[in-house]
Amino acid sequence: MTHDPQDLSAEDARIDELLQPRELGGDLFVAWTLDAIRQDTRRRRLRAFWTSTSVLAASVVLVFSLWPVKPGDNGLQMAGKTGPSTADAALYGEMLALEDLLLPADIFAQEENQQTLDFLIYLTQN
Amino acid sequence: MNDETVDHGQSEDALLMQAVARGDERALGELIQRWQRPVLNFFYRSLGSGGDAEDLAQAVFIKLHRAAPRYRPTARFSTYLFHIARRVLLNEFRRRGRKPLDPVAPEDLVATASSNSDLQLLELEEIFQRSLERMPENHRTAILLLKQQELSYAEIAEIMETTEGMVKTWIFRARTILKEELRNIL
Repeated sequence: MTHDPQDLSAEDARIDELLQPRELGGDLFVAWTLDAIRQDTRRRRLRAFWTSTSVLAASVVLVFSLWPVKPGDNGLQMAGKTGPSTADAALYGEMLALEDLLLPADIFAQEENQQTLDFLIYLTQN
Repeated sequence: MNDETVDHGQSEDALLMQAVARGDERALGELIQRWQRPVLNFFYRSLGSGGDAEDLAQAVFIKLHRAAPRYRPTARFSTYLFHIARRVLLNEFRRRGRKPLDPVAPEDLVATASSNSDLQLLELEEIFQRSLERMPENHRTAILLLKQQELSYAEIAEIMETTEGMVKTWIFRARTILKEELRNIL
């Protein structure tokens, strides 16, 4: 199919005309976009805050988990390494006595008493 | 810094971008005001939907705001802006490839025609839009950037990350497709 060059230039002109920008957008679009940008900024700031808080919390946990424990420090340490202090044993004894007072006799069974006694013997031996 | 950089750096858009980077919301509003029409028209012709064009144009301005602190005026602002716009468009096509398309509202496709000539114009517009949508994305983007945005071949090549020769080929092909479509109705 052949075409007159005059027709082809008319088609080109029509294409150019159809491709021309239209009157799109307006003040409402600007306001709507500015609002969306404000929300985006807030979201990013919040995300940055939570990320830094999480990193800080993880760092604190890491530092405490790696903190060197010396013999005689408070807390029950691993058996065979340092062992609890006499202060720990005394405190534990007090706790058991208090628990004995608070709990009904039938709940604090004979078997548990024996286990507690075994534990106290272990503490005093170490 | 070369002369070209100095020239672009002194453009009003570059100055507005520097103000945006400092947190100036008025400058941001002015930048959106200046560029909303070109960006909306680019997306409108790429997607054929006014609503989608607004969503994507908004995404472009959000990205522009995020990028403001890193912006360096090494090229014309329009090149920078349409580079972002094209990336947003390609992401949208990828997203649509994974998800089913939302049905387009009838009012987005058909406007009311008051006379016979209006009806013909609407028909022409619809056919033109459909042939634009059917052609490959790089053909359509190239002809839109040239004819709608009036960018140079060099700028289009930079935006589309290709050579000027390839841009000319794409534009020639796009024109051929559009002419074929128009011949049937004109």
